[in-house]
Amino acid sequence: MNRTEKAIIQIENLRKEFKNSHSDALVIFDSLDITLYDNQITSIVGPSGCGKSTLLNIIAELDKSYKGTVKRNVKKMIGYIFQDDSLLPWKSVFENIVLGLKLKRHVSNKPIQYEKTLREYGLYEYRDFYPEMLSGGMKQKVALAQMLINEPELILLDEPFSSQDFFEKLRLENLFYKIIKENHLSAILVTHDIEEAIALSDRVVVLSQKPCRIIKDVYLDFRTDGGFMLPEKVRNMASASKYFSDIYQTLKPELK
Amino acid sequence: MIKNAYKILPLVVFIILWQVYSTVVPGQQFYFSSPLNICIEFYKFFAEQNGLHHTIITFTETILGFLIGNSVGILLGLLLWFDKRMAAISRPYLVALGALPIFALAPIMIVWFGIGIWSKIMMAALSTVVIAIVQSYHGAINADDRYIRVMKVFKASRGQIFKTIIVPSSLIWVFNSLRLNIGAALFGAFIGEFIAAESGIGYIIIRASGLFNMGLVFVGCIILMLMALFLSAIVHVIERKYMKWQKAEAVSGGE
Repeated sequence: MNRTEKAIIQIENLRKEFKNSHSDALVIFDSLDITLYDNQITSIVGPSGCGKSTLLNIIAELDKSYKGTVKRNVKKMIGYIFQDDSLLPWKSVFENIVLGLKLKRHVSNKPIQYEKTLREYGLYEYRDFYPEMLSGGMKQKVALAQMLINEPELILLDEPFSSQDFFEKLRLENLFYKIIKENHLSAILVTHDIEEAIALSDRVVVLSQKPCRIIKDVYLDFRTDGGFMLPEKVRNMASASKYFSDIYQTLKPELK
Repeated sequence: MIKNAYKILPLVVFIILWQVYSTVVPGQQFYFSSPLNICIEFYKFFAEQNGLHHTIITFTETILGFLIGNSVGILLGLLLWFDKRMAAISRPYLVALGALPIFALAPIMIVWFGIGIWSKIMMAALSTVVIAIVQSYHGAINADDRYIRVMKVFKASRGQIFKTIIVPSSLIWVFNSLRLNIGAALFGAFIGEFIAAESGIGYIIIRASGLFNMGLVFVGCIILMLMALFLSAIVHVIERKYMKWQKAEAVSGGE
């Protein structure tokens, strides 16, 4: 186990509830503790509606109405990529990518300055397109570039591939994995797809139905010590399917 | 061009039927005038009765009122996004003001601003301002949360969210209000002239109807229609320029 890593997110005693109109609150988290480490991709798997996305929103400070402590050992920004496309339709691909920089006012308007980055994502030719004209996979690449250009330390991924077709998904998995690892980023991936979680991550955390507890926490041994291994390769490995059935058996009772 | 020629077919048929009817049936010219007679009146209006002056007066009133009403309305409507409580407070007042027949305000405007051009400009502005506020406020609050969420990830300020998300995403509503308001502005200016004026198309129409000169009344109506078409075309051009990111078919109307 590679637990000597520095903790990047430390959540202690988290309580979160949603109040509805009938005064009875829906408890999502009740005294949840979880620590996430630097330089790792951690996947969070759980039944639909168990509060996975809420957890990401809390980490990203988009949701501030919770009790408990959330320590973020992050000096730079926390990036966030959403399941549905969040690109501004009235801005071109290039303008969308530099959105964050522009808000901090250190950006030049010339795509040529960012040519290397744009080429890395295969987006240079599409820099003047509007998001409308792009495929779903392309949009997610733009979203990744939009976050990565701000040099985040941690990136949150909320089911970023779930609306892609299978082959596009495999391609995006490889690209995301490569870019995250090459830039020495930490990532938290929320997904309901166990295979995807195993293919991409160093560690998989399985959550129960709400109020949500950690029912399994596994470090994938083929990736221990920060081993670089593309998702497409993992998908063909026998040990990956062992993890799959293991996690699936844990999760199964929660799915009812 | 030729492909679209069929669009004017109903107009041509209508004009021919109108001409035939008023020529064949005796006495109908008095009530309905006739296309030919209207052409003659049209010529006389511009050649002998200073028609251009009246047209320019009404056009100026409409366009100034349109600009004042819409800029004030759009600005207020968008700014209400910043303060939900303010928006809630202003709602009943807007409803009341919006429901008030603009006709009722005409005498007040004439007392306040005189029978000159300014009372008509204010009438045009008043007829447009409520629609502009309501439409742009709706545009502002209907901005997609997904975009605001991304801005929050970048720790954007409310001012930045306003500028980057709220304004551009309410443009659809804003242009919608501009299109609706062309007619409203013309209506306001016209009512002002109708009640008390010394020049303008409204003044011409009411004077001509007093003299039973139906030809000239129709001339006035046609000039108002042409103005509306001209203003729609301008709004359409501006819309095309600012909304080029939208699918062509989503940008509607305006021709």
